[in-house]
Amino acid sequence: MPVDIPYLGARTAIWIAAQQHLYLAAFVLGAPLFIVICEYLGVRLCDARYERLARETMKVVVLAYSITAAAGAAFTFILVGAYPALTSHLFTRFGPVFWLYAALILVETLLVYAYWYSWEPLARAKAAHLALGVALNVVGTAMMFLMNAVGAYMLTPPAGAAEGDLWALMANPSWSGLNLHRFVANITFGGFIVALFAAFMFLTARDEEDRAFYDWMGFTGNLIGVGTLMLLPLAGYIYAKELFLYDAQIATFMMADKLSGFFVVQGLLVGLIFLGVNYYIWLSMQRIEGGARFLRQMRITFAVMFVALAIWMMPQHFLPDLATQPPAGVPLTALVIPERAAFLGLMMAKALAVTAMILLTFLTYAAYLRAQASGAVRWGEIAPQSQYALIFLPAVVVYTMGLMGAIRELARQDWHVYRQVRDVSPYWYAPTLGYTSAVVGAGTLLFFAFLAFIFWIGFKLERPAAGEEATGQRRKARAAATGFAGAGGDGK
Amino acid sequence: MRMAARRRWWCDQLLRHPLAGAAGLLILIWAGLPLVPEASGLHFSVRYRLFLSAFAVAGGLFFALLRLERVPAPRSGWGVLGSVAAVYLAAVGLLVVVGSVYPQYGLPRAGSAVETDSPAGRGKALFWDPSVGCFQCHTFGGAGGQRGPDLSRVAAVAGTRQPGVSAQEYILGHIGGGSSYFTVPGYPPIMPPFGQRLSPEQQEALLAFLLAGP
Ligand code: HEC
Repeated sequence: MPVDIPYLGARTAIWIAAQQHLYLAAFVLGAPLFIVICEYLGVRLCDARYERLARETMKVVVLAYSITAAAGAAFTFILVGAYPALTSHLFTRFGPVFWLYAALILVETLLVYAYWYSWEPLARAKAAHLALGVALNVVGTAMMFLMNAVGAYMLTPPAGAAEGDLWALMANPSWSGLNLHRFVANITFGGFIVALFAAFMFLTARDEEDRAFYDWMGFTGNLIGVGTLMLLPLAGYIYAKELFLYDAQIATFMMADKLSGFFVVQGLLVGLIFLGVNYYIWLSMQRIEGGARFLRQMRITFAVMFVALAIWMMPQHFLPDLATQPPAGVPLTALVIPERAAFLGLMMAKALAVTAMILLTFLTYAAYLRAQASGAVRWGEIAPQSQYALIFLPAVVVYTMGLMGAIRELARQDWHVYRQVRDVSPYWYAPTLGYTSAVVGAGTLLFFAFLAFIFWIGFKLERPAAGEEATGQRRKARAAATGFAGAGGDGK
Repeated sequence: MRMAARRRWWCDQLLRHPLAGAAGLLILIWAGLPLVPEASGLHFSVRYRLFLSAFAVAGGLFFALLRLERVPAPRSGWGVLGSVAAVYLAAVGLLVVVGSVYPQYGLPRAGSAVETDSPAGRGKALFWDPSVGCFQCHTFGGAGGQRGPDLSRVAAVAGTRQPGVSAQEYILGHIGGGSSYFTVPGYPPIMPPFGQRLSPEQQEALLAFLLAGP
């Protein structure tokens, strides 16, 4: 007999646990991808800032790692306790996948600690240290692909695959789409979290040198986030196409029926991200000598973006799903887009609006590069409100991940495994957008509470006493740059 | 030349007073748009005007934000933490509010549980059952999706689709075989076959429901 969970209900409980695990895991897997690249760039370009960025971010990863595992355990317990039928369905079909996954967790844990704690000992043998980092990423990505196979299977089980044919179950129709989308999005997410961390450190920094560094780090993290963000609409389109080809009803349920309102909010979310990114560049531009000459172009960009966003979000009608009739006394015309404007509600117009936003963001960056080419960047002098843009962005990004994840799960409708294992719990139905928003909002805040804890514990509590602080930091930065820190000197 | 200069002056004024610009847009939306005659096909209802107003206001606020001078950073660690928390509560709060004011559907949708005596009644329940999903693609009696044809009057056309095939036979064949049985011109062949998924009794029930009409 499955157990239910008091107050929250089993569904909401597993939702929150799974979501926290996903957020943390996405960061723990996504960040090392560019940490290793930054470490390499530090060596290659002889720029100590990259090394420091890599190192401080890795410290956050190490601290987040055990919370990730704890959330994963909570997720598993609720799955086994509240959804035993589904658990046994998945375990009988994917047994070897779970065993391999468990083994890889062990390897991954060893690699995370090896990579982190050998940073100084291997300061002279960078190639070996980088190799550890690459191995860490290979194992991490393999782990993610394994669990993606199970998650994708639940929505798109391959038709007629025999129970014993593990590969057919894994390589189900939406596996590759999910892999691609998550791989890219994890980097995006990691980049924005790095920017958040940098903003937090910038605002609490006490000396100019730190402020200059964290200004640069915030800019770089944001750049990683934006650079990969631009690929996501395409990756999302590929993924959605796979779902559509698998079963048109899933696509309809998402785009036109119960989840259509969720996509309107998605438009708002992605629009806010693009506006936030461009606002940050607007302020970044002003810390470049002579950058002000590009501000006029950017104002036009903002105006066009607002129009594009309005088009993207314009719903075809204000009915929550396909089965709801207008309330008594309200004519249908009050709820439906006017005939001549109907094209604004269709996919074509929305795709154009998204494309416009992406192109405009490209242009903004191009302008930034041109400004940079002709004037010096005064790192550290950016207006402090820019840091609030960097703080705001991850909030929206995390909320977006939560809402999109909810869409992906709810797309299964009243099935645990689409058309194979029916959800017979009291929570078989798609909750409303309002309820979903509340759960996703709570999950978002909870995740940032974890992050605040990590930043505080890892970077504020263990600082040297006030007087020593500035010099201590500087010494550390220099040490990281040259590899002569403490034990680093005698390491091999 | 004078024209260009004047236009530039207006642009500058707008940028200097973005909130006034937003107010102007609001006047346009609430005093101008309602004058557009219904017959033009461009008459935006109150809900759409509210939707557009939200963008006008947000745009005004955003451009006002661009004019903001350098704000000082908080001085203590707690000040930073507090301001960060405020940003998060505001951002997440805004998103939750938007999600909550958007039209919500009822919970849960009457579906699988409905059992009635007549075949047409059972067919109706099946038609609106989310796990069967006819309504996701088909409109019936004014509600439903638009990917497939409106089925409100399918009883009348079903007998004419294929020479020598009766309405009953055609509808049953279409349910059983989906688009591979027959594809109505002008529609994509995306209807899945339900022959395996639904029992013969269920298919008969759907037939009775469709023949009875709304
Ligand atoms: C994924 C979308 C989809 C679903 C789900 C779907 N249909 Fe269809 N249906 C279509 C499309 C598209 C057409 C027109 C093209 C064709 O004939 O295949 C169609 C055509 C039909 C026709 C022929 C209409 C005519 O005018 O000749 C009938 C009858 C029909 N569907 C009944 C059903 C029933 C009953 C169900 C539920 C058991 C159902 N459909 C589910 C998409 C769908």
